[in-house]
Amino acid sequence: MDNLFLALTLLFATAAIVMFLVHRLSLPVYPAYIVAGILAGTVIDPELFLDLAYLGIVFLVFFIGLHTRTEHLSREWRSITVISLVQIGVVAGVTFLAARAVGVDWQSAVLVAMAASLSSTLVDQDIVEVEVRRNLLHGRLAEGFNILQDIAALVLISIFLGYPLVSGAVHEAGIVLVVLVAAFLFRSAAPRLMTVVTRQRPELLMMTGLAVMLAVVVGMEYVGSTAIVGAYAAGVLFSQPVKNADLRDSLDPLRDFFIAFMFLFIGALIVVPAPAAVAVAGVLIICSMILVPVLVFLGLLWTGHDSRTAYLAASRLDQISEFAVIAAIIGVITEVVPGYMFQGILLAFAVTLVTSALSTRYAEQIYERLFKEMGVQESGRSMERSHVVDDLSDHVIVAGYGNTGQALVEHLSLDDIPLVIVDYDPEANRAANENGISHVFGDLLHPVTWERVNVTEARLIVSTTPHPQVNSTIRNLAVDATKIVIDDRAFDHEHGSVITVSRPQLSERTLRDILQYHLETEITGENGSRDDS
Amino acid sequence: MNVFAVDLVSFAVIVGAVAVLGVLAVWLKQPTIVAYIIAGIVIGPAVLGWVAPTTLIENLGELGLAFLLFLIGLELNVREVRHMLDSILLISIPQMVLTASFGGLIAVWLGFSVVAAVIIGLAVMYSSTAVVVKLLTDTGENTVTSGKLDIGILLVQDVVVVILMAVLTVQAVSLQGFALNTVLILGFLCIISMIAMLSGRSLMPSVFRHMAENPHYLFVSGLAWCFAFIYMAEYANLSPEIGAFLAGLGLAQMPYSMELRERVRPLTALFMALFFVDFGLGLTLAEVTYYWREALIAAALLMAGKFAIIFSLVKWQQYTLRTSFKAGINMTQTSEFSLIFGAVAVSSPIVLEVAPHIGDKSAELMGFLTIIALTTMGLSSYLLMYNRDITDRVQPYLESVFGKQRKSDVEHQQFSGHAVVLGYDDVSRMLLPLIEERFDTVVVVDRDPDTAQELEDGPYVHIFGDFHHKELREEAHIADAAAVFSVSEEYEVNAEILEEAGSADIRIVSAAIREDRDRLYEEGADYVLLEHELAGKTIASHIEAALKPEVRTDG
Repeated sequence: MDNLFLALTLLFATAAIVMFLVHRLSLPVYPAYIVAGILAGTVIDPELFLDLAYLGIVFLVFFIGLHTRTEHLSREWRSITVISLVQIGVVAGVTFLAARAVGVDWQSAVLVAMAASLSSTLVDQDIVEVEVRRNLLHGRLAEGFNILQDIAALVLISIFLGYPLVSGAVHEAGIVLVVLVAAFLFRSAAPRLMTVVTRQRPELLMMTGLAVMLAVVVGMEYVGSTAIVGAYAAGVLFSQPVKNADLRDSLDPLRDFFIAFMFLFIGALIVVPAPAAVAVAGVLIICSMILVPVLVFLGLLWTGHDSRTAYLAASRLDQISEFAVIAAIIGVITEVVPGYMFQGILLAFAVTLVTSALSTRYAEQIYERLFKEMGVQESGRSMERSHVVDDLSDHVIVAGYGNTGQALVEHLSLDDIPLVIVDYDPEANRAANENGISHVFGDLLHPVTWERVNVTEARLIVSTTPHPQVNSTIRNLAVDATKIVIDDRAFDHEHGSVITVSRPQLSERTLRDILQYHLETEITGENGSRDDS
Repeated sequence: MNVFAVDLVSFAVIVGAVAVLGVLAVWLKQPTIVAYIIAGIVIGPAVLGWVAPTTLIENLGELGLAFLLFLIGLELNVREVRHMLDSILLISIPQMVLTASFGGLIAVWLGFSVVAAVIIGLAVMYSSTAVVVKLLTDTGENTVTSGKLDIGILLVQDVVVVILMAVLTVQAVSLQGFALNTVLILGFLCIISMIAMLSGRSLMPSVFRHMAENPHYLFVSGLAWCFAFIYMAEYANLSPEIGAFLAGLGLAQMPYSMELRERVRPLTALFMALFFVDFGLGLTLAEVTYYWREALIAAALLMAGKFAIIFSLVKWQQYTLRTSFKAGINMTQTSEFSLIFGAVAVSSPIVLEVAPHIGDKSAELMGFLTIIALTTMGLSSYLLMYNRDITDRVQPYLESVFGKQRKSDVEHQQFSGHAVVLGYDDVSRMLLPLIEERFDTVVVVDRDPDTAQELEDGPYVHIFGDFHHKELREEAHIADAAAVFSVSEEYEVNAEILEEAGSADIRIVSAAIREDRDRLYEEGADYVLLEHELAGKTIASHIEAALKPEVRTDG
């Protein structure tokens, strides 16, 4: 017990201090845990907490599975699948062959291929989840890539563990696929059943969730397969977002607690990296920071996305996957993978965690620099998606055909004034096409796009997105047109030809009326009818 | 393939049993603690023999105890019961003395030795925080006077049990050494409490203010703080639980403690379940049933005695008949601490020094306390659940015995008919003054540390924390609210909110996309705020306005 509390104190105190020092960078929790693990690992024998470390891995994978959401992806599945297959195939294939060529053993080569080709799901998860909820295209795409990469990771892990028998590897991969398919099939029934059984008591929801997860994990071990696949499948089983909020809330702290031991374990295995480890890390860092994002970016351009969406989605994929780290731990414990390989993967993981947090944070700025100042052109394919009336003049340009844009166009009666929409989301353009509205597919921050809608002749330019750069671009367009822009932080005002609209103010005014309405009907006893306006 | 060579099977069996029996308990309206102890007895050597105690389970159980006390410390918010602190102290201290004596006398009467009787007496004097607080919150009785009194009494009992356990773990072989060490330990206790209080008041709020921006960071630093105190306590030869308790106490007064609590709660729930299972695993059937007749008799007497003692004491403190009666029937069970305290006591060096014979029958003694706990908790949960009905039925008889009530009822109004605002953003900030005009009480739940102070200073009841947690919404009494307004754009959360606030007159929620809005209307929302839609509409009117003069000149 003394040891347990000493370990816990060291682990969490170090992690907390590191977090306090770096809290302004809004990094994920892992880097702090790595430092904590290294420090605590010098004092404590991690072998004592092997079971807790193992539970940490299981919880981590369960958690990844739990966050698998597929319902936003229906229209993008095809391009995501094709791009993923090509990207994983190319990167994994090349790194695998290269590793074999320089004399690396089979299993290490599989590990390198996995680390090089796959990216982390959990690192950007909070951000991606918000983007998906807001129905942003690049968030949906990134989520799709993450899911396919996780499945690929499970298959690669099973191959990695199934070696040396080829038949064993195939057998393993087969089990993995069967279990995953089963999990995806039952994922709508399982959470519903569970909420009924537990009467929605959070404590019991957690207990039954854990019980099912452990049953699947132990079952997988029993049939001789890997527990990791079981944990992921169990997560998928409960991943239907409706009504699993309590389960996710209660598992969040469990994961944060148990992965500390995983990092204690990792920390104790870390030594000053050998040159070979640095070389491995270097290759992996180049692959995951540059090669993977570039391939995905090109793939997205090729499937007809604009450069901004493609860049933002691809930049979410620039770190090493947790699954590679887990496989490396397993490899080093079972002594099938040399120490330098483990060191290299871990080093690359640590480095890319920090760089990826920064690249996500400054994604817009990096995109600007890369594509504006370096003058990368929009691909020609995007033109094909546009439908514009020739020689537009005296027209209204609506920037963005998302939720706000669609509502706006619906409520707008313009008589004969021509209207054109600009958006970068293929789905928005598809919607515009269906509604028979002129539209241009392109990036609002790119001058070419504005030329194509003949901005100099426009009568009115309207922004429907709160995106600050889009709004400042519109504000700064050197044209005569009246401009309506959105700035949620400002108050409604008119300044010259620029009208600024603040959305919280709109909501506030409307809600005021609605509250007033309901409060009054309540007093008079009338039945409040629904007001959609 | 298990490369770690870690045996998860027994862990899986334990969690499985916990889940199955837990579900059964909820269906039978029983507290889950009862289910967990029974789960341990059933799968352990006593009945099925599937699982033997392992170090993993034991370690996690021990952690559970530490987390439980951390949580109790965190929840010890003196502010809520301050105005009745005098009566709480005047009730709880005599109550513990009387109940302990009563329990001890029963034990002697049943044939236990004097030392065993003292241990039993001290073990049964507490009522169960876990059972009482949970059920009172479920029925909303935690906000009425009897509920508040009971919770206050439980808090005092918790503090007492912590100190008693500290004293019992003193390592000493003679009575003089024991006395000396006790003084030393109490000294250490004071020093650590001072550290906890001072840093909790001055240094930590600014540190936690930064950490609270990221819920993971907040959680990790909370745990670090907790473990640091546990380690300090161990260093001073105190039990880890005391360190955890003081750590919680140090953080309790901070606005972020609520969010921290909700994050510690799942860990505590899991690990405490393991603790109780581990406890059940340690008993054989022979040990459990050795004193079963004595235990059932003691349980019956204790339930009656506990009720009578609290009823009389509360009445003596000038509370109404109704309040006194309810306060009494809420508290008729023994506590989870009777087991924890009992286990500490039967292995305490000083107890074994004074009375070596305790060691021979220690497991049987624990079996005795277990049966009492299971019986009293099980039965009292029905008393708690139906305390209002029972009181209504009994009131006429009470009045005929004690005379008609002269004094008006001092029970507080239930926290109801209020407005609940979930999330403090630009929209709700502008809306709050309007809501405040119309409702006497406005509860705002939000987890942004930057606006915490602003809300604390405002005229609203502020709950710091993430309203995605069901518990926090319960804390805001969303079920009794007249108006609910949620700024969350998450459909799942809003759907739950609509369900929970079924009786509210006005339910306004938000959505990010149209499909969610339509679904929320179907689920009964009075209005779904869709910023995009509003913005689109307004901009459309702006456009029409901007174009109008030109249209006219064209025409």
